[in-house]
Amino acid sequence: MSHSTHFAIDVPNDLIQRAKRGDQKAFEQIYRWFERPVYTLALRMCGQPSEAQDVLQDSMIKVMTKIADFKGQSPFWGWLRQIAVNEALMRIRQSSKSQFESDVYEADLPDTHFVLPMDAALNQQLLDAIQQLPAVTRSVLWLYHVEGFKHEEIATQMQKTVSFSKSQLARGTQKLRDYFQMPQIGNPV
Amino acid sequence: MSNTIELAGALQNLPLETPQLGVWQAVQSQLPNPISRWKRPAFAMAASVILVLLIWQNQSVIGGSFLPTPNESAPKLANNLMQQSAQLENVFYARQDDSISSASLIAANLTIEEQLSAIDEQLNAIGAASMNSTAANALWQQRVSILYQGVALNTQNAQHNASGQSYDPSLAIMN
Repeated sequence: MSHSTHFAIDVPNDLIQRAKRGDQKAFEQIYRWFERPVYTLALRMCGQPSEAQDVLQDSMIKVMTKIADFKGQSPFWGWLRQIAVNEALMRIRQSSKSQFESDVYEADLPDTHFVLPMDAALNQQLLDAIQQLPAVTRSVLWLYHVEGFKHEEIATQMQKTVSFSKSQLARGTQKLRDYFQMPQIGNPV
Repeated sequence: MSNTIELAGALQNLPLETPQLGVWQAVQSQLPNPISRWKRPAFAMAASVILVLLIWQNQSVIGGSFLPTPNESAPKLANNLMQQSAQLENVFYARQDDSISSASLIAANLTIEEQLSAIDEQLNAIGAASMNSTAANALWQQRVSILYQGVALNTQNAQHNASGQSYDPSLAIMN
């Protein structure tokens, strides 16, 4: 699946090494680069600016204190993003416990292929629409479509099943389709 | 439908959000302390003295090649200095290698970083609106000059090590 994530920033190795040595300027540089991607991810997943702010702070503190554990086997941004996703999911788990527990499987999932009309108001309409989704559903939608995670990866992160991830995606898509009053068309998951 | 976009594309096109309050200060207060050797006052002072002497020594050799041309306009000068500063900063950090550096070179590098940090604070205080001012240009010039010395120090260190010799800035200034 092709995707574009705002996290995909190539952090120079020497900056990471400086941060590992406790160089505060290096930490600050890393913080500045990832402040908005982390905050945006957290806001989309959690829904509330105050929660997103907390996720940003906790994620960055964790990144800074755990940076010695980063071995460089995968891109730094991916490691940092995983910390942010985990922090956001932890908050959602605390505040939306019932959504996590209602692991309902739908045998006949509606399709998740959905096109939207391009117009100047689309961004705001889409933001309003996803804001109305439950946090768990919205998170699955975001992790799948924007961050490019597969259902298996989302399921692992949420400690749920692949079916759970698929059904959340299908439900979220259906709700957006209803919001935009778009007809259902082919291409199932 | 001609003007449509897939849901994934529409979500990806949503703009990045900016937090109303930056949390850097809160994060900074939780940061692990830098390596304690950096904080030893006597060591830092010795490094500062070595650095000042090296700057004085190298400037006479280098002949100020990093200095701006006399007739450059202020915005152009600012832009050039910022570019030079960014390039030199990359090289400065790339050339540092603690595994082949003497204690005095490591300390000198730290002193350079502290000087850069002090300049950055002054630049932040000046603000973006006055980034082309004479005062800002003087600070950028100072930043470039310090970085230039840092690159020279670490390059000399790498060259000495490549030829099997050790390099100590405190000894180098005696020569």
